[in-house]
Amino acid sequence: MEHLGPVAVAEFCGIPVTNTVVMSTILSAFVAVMALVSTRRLQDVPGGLQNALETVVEMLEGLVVDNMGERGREYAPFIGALFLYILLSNWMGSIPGLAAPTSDINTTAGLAVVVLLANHFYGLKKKGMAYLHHFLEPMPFFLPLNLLEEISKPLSLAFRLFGNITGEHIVIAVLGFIVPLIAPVPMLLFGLFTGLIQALVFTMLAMVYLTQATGEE
Amino acid sequence: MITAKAFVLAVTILSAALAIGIGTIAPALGQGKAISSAVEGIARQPEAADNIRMTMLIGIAIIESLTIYAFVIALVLIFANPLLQLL
Repeated sequence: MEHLGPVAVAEFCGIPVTNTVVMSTILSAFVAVMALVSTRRLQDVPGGLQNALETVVEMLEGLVVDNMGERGREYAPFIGALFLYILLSNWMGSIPGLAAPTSDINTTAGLAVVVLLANHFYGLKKKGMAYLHHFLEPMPFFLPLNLLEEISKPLSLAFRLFGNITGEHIVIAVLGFIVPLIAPVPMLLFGLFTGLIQALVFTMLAMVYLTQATGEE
Repeated sequence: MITAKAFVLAVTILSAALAIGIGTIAPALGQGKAISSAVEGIARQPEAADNIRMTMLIGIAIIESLTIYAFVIALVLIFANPLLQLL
């Protein structure tokens, strides 16, 4: 229990490097290497690794198109990257010796800020200056409320993901402290399930926000 | 005589327990309502089961985030108490 949250393991130019940073770097490198290796010799009839990764990509694209319609296909890489990163980070916490990058509030806050910026960027790109008008809907004096909503979106995204994953870890730690033998195993299985659901919820909300920002009205 | 620090710690622990305890009630009721409606829907239309289950899971996770906010407050109170620095 005493090592709740990120632990500084090294120092780089005076900046402490926590274990979650190391873990997320390893994770990104792993995903990048997998993608590079599987696309080195592309074949018409995929087999092995290429087949597996094509299934994943098709599933992610299907998720985005199901929720945003056909025009969501251009956001599929962004949403898919978010989903893969969050899912693998959540599951990483279940491996002994590794830490889940998403159990660090800085990681989840970073992801939420990325979603917020992408939101405004795509909104401005799609609608131009007319996008800014939605801050004045339905009445001009609703501006403070709309701005407040823009702040609360990333806040709730970050806290939801962080709280769920950290809560999971604390429950497992407490159970393992009381009954170290078999009792935490069902909880670990449940952790895999909530990891998937939370990744899904995060990407689903990101898609909802993107649809709101870029939708034709 | 109770010192100021001991008093703040006691109040902090109590409020952390109350935050998570009370903060769980309403979301639990909401989740129960959501699940019961989803089960009714699946019983009435078994062919839409996959769709309903997916929507229910997303909805439940979003309702659960209310509890998670209370949990984050409790975590902050226990592990990063901002009030102790004021003493």
